Amino acid sequence: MKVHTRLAGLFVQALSQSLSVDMMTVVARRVIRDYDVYERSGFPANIPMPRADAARHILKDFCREGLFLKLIETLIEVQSEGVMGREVPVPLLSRIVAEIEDQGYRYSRDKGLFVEAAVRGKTMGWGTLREGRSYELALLRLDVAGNSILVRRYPAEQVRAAFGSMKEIVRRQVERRDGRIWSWEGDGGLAAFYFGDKAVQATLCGVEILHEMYLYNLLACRLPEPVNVRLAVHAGPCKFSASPRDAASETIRRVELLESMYTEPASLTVSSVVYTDLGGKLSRSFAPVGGDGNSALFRYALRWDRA
Amino acid sequence: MKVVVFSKRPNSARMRFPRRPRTGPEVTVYPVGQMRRVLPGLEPGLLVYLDVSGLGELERRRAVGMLQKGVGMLFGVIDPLGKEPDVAGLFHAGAVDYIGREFRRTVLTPKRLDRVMGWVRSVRPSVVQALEEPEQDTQPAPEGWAGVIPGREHDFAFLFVEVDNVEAMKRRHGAENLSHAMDTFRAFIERIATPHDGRLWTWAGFGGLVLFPIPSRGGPGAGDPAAAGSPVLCGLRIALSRIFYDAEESPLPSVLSFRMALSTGSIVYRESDTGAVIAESLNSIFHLGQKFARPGHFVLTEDVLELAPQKLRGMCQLAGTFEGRRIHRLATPRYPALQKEGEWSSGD
Repeated sequence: MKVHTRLAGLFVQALSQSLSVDMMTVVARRVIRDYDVYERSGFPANIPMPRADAARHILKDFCREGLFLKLIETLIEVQSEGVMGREVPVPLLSRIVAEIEDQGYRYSRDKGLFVEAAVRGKTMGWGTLREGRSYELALLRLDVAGNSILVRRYPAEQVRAAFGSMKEIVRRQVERRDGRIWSWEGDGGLAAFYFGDKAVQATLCGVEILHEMYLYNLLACRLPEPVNVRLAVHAGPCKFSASPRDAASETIRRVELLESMYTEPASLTVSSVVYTDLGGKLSRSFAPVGGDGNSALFRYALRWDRA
Repeated sequence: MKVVVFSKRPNSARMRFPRRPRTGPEVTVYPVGQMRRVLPGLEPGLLVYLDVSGLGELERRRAVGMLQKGVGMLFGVIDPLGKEPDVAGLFHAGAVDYIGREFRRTVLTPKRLDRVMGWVRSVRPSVVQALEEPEQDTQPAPEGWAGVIPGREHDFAFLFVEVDNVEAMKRRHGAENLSHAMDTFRAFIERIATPHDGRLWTWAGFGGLVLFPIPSRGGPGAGDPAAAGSPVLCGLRIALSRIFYDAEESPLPSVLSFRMALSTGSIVYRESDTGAVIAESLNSIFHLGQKFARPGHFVLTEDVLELAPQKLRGMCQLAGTFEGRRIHRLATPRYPALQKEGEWSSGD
């Protein structure tokens, strides 16, 4: 995100008018541990630094590290919750937020984060994740079962239409739950979830895709046989990269393995890490299906109660 | 009129019908082994006969069972050797004709078929009505809700939804917690129904009624499977979405069991004081939902099922009769969470 002159000026003015240098340091340390404006600026520690100078140095340091948005999110939190029992009003904060929103972000109160606004389009990292950094993510891997058979058996146009409908179903469900599609190969792909109860969101997204594919196959699919998908969800640390080819981690490898080796068509497999996050009501819809030697696995599939 | 016959000896059966009838129905004969494949594709209005000669007891029961499940299907039995031990039982199972030892080349006459249809009209009028062009005294809503005028009588599909085991739920969770949960449940029903053109018309604590205007046959919505099948599809979506309601919206620590019933009828529509509306259709749907539908089930009358796309109909099975109507049950997703809590019996 670009911090232009007007935004920079507002920031310096807001900080210097509202906070002492000590309080600025307290706030900054919530984002960068052990941050010391004196040490970073080279200003003599025994001389009180003017507030405006401190604010300018903080702005420069945080912009260089790509943490400006994070700092504003922290300021919003500080203004609403106070610090050490004290109220900390920051009068110009709403104008700062407006400037940021003009650049295509919106502030999500429940997440406490700036995220991409719809008009800006959706990027892999929600406009928040930084290249090369590791984050705790939940990943949803999807693949069409028997796609090569479908391709051989039916006209290319029909198969393309069916896979296109499937992709649209997946895209809609992933984005509805604030996920992002990280890669797509025509007959499957990988989606990531970052916010809130990410494991639950990824799992419910998978369940929803299964249900929507069932209805699609029942009512709309033009192929003579159904398009069945295999889905898997796993959570863990993952290094973010805006280039799908460079995004590689043990978590990605594991979810790909769960989907390809341990998942039946028209079903969803979750790892034990994800299962423990699901909560009592949701987890009861998942049946244990043995494991892969490392840990237990759990599966959801649509089964029907008939008369 | 067209007639289809399934026979174990199709060549022999074909010989019993004129190849090019000057009068009488056009008869198509299929091997009985092709029933499963052929039946779903048959258009409504056909009379389907099963020739039971040569069929073992199990084969006969299976074949009759398949015919029985066909929605809007009129079927009869041809028994040239007169071996059927319980002819009345066939009619109880839904048959509309039985041809016994008198079966010969000239038995399926137009006069006989008229007699069959006349009899069906008297005992299963909804089926015949669906097959013929109906003359409606009431006003089907021609353009969804835009055509519904308060104070006038309209045709609707009624979706009844009610929580199961209310007294046990009150004891378990407390009246106040349950009341708050019902607010979320009501919002969930409304949210699913709205894209299907359904409106939550009345709600009384633990359940209510969703109305769907039914497109008229000649109106703008006619022939649109999405519009006509919406009430059934809506019910299926509610059943599919219960897992999301329980996981994300319900404040209760346990899953919620509820039942649904769907039928059609007409009422004088009003937007307020809906509890004051008195109509046979409303009595009927409430009875169906409260007295016939079992916990966790979704039941439909045959007339509303005939509005649904063929593939949705394939998910239904006959569940019995109630107040003179054949009632079907739509398969719903098995919900292990409910079964484990023992809140309703599973695997019916």
